[in-house]
Amino acid sequence: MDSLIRAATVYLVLLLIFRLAGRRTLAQMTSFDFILLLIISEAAQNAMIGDDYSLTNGFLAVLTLVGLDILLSYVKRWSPLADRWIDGQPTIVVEQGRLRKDWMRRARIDERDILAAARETHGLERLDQIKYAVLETSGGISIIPR
Amino acid sequence: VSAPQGSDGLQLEEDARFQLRLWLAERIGWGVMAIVLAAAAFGFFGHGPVSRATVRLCDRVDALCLAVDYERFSRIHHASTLQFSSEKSTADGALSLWLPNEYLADVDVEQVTPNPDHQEITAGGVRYHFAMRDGKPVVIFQFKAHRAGPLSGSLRLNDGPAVSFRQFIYP
Repeated sequence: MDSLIRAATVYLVLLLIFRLAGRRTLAQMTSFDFILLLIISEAAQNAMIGDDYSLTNGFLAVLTLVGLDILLSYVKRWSPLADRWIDGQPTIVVEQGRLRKDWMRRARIDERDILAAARETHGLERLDQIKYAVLETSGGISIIPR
Repeated sequence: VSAPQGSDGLQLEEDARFQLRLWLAERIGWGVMAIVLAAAAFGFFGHGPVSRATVRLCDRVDALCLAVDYERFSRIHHASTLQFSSEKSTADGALSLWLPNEYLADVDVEQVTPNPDHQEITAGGVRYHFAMRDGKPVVIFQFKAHRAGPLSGSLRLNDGPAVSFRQFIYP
C-alpha cells in the first residue's frame, strides 16, 4: 500500500509541477535541460522508493506509474475539459504571417524561437515566409510555410 | 485579447478564453510555488529559524534547569535532535532525563551523547541516567521519527514536573 501511495503522490505532484512550469520548460532539451531532467528524476526516485530497495517495491512503483498513465489517458478521453487542463491546447502564435505579440509574451516565446523552428523544420529564412506558427501542447513550435 | 476562431485553412480548435484561464492558473501556481519555497527557506519544513524551538526544563527544587532545543518541524526518517544544555555550572551529582513511551514508540533513538550510565524502565517511560561532574552538562539525543504527522512528547528532569513539546513530522 505504501509503495502505491508514494508512486501515485510522486506522479501527481510531478504532473502538477510540470504543468505549472509550462510546456516550454523541457521541450527544448538543451544539454542543461537534459541534466536537469536527470537530477529531477534522481530526486523523485528517492522519494518514491524510500529505503525499500526490493524488487517488489520497484515493480509496484512502475506498475502504479504506468497504471496511472493509462487511467489518465482514459480520463482525458472521457472529459475534454480534463484533457484541456492536463495537456493544454495548441496556441497560434503567427497567423497569416502576423505575429501575435501578446500571446507570444504570455507563452514566453519570442521571434527567435519561431525563426529557429522555421529553419529547423522547413529551412525557411525569413518571418514573412511563415503563414502559421503554432505552439503545440508538447512545447514544440510547428510551422506552416506560405 | 481576442483570438480568431477557425482561421482559414488551418483546422485548429483554439479557445482564447480557456487559454487565458490556463495562463492565469499557471501564474497563480507560480505564486504557490514561491510561497512553498519561501516557507522552506524559513524552516516551515524543518531546518530553519521557524523550526527551532526551546523549552525550559527544571527539576523539582529548581536547583537545576536545562534549556531543551528541538525542531518543531522535521521529516520522516530524518535525523532530528533534542539538545539539553545548562547555562550555568552545576554541582556534581546525578542527572536523569525521562521520556514517555508514547514518544519513544514513534521515534528511533539513534544516539545519545554522552552515553547514559544506565537506563531504567519506569512508569510510562524510560529514564536515562547520567553521572555529572563539574561543568555545564550538555546531552544530545538524536532521533529519527518513523511516523508522519503531529508528534507530542514530554520530558522530565530528575523528579521535576513533566514539560511537554510538540513536533510535526512531514512524510
